[in-house]
Amino acid sequence: MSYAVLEVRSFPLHARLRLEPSSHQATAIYSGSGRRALIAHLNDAAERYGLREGMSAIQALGLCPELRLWTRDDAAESEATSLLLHAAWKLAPRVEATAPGLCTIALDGRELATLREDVRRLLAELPLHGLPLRVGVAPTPGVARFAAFHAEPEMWVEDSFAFLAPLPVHLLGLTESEASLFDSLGLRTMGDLARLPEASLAQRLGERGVRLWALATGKDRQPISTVTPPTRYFAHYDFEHPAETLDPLLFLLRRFIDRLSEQLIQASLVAEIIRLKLRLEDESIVEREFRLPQATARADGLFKVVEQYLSSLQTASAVVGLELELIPTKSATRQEGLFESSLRDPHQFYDTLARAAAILGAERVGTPLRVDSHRPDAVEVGPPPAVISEYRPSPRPIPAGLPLRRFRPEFPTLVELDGERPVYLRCASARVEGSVCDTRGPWRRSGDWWEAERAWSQEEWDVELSSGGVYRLTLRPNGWFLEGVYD
Amino acid sequence: MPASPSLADLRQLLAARFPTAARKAESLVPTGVASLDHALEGGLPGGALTELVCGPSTGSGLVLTRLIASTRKARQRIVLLDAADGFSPEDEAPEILEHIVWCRCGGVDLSALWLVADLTLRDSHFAAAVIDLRGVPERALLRTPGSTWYRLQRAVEQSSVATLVLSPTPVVPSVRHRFRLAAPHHAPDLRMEREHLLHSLAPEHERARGAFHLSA
Repeated sequence: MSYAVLEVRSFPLHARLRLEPSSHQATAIYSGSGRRALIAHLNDAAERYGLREGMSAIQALGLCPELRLWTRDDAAESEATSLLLHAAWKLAPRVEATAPGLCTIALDGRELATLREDVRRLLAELPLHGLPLRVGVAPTPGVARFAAFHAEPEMWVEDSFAFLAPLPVHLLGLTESEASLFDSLGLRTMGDLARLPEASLAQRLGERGVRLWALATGKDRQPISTVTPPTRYFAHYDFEHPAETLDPLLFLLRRFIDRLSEQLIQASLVAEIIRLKLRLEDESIVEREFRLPQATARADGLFKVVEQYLSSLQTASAVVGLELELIPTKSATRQEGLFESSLRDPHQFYDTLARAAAILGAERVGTPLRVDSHRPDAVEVGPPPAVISEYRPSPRPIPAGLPLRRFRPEFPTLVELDGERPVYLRCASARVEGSVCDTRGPWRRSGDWWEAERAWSQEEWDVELSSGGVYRLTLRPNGWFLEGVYD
Repeated sequence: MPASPSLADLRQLLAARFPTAARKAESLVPTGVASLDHALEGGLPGGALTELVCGPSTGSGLVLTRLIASTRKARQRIVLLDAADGFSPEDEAPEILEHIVWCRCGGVDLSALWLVADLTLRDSHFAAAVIDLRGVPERALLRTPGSTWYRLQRAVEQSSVATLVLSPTPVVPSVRHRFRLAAPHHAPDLRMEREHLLHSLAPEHERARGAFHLSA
């Protein structure tokens, strides 16, 4: 069995930088406060100014006045850790989140050839998401970690002892007292340490000594503590400075969606709902739920929905935080018939629908469906089918007359009656007024009478106006309504 | 008569310079209404706008249902951009509806309809599109900026979608064909079979702008 370690150097810095559109500016993460603030991590642009880790923040600003000084950001690190773990799960299922920016993978049963291909794919993919990766593969977790530390950007170790022997002993993470002890004993490299008997180190340093000796000899066998893949597809971020334009929001959302989409694909799931929540500076909240016409895990499709919505959104104040959640469902699969014609490019089609739904609302875009009810206007929309089946005429008779074009909602109408028959009507909302020259009806309809709250009844009249036009007029307990025009 | 080499060269040059204007073969989507298809030489032209101006009860709904049935039989997708959300599918058989994408734009600003039109008309999965402006106040339609119609025309031209605009008044300036349904139906017609009513439809062909075709 062997192990792989994925490492992102200066992880707190890259975790924040990847969520910032302008990542080329000189930037550093500092720890401590006031005069004791020290540079902990810095990017290449900052290094070009002569800045180094361990330098005081004041000194660094003296050398580079435009330096961006940041503190660590838990949300950004959590987001980057999710991405790193997701990458690790592509290699094998048993993964340990060893430390921030570091995870260990037990490569049980992996074949070397396919493993090399997968590792190279990760090395190419992860930097695109803003995380420069190093990978070390070795027979034990400890050696794999040292290999990742020395990787450029990958290192494969077969002979642990030969690899470890020349490495300086301080890489073992010694305490000050241990370092001075080893120095006084002349132990400079791990090879020096490995040549000592295990029992003598145990006698001198106890359990810690045994652990150091095992690490130095490449014989560490500490089991890894595995983490389980997430069941919630969620990302959030609080802006340090309120976002007043669309660009930083979209940049961040693209990062989130890329990561969540990959996780969905890995779990063989697709997203059916996108939930977006924006927290504004004035403490108000903008929330929107997008029900997708066709569930998908494609990042482009998901992003376009959100982008379409945000590009037409105007908020009262700047955005200080955002949350994004994808609600997953199982991917529907079906086998198509030999002669069925399906979509040429399903992604394009459902992208179009999703973008239309982002503009109009998901309940307004789709294929018309009749609801199983006699209630007037009982229709809704559903997802369009991927395949249009062969047309087989229904045995139902074709309706007679002109189709009805509905007024939604129906217009309240003033009606003059002769007995029970309408003779004149006036509907300002529909700009319809005139005397009635012909009538048909009434047709009385009712339903759901067994449920008090849902019960309905109405009396329908078809009326023709002398000025032209045949309309459907409806009498309900609350008055007359113009329901539509026969067209 | 075979084209002379110089004429063929000119056609090639025009086709290269104006690829959307010069279409070698134009797809047609039959409406299923004999009088309209006859006037259109087979059906709604793909990549072009056709406008049908119609008053209340003049039979435009019949044209719409017939176009829906015609595309359904051909298993072509159709998008219905319903500006006033007036389409009433409850009378239609469910099997005739499955190829429709219904965009219900009632109660939203007209600009949202144009945004959705811009998206859907560029999607090659749709063979036909109906922009139903019936029920929209004429004043609102006449206020539509010229750039919107121009953008709509460009979107249609760049796709092969046969687009029918149903409008209460002539509003589309760049339309290839414009028809008008003027004769209103009467209450007794509600008892007549649709087939009979369709035969009696007599759309007036008000405008026919020639498309530039390449015969080479």
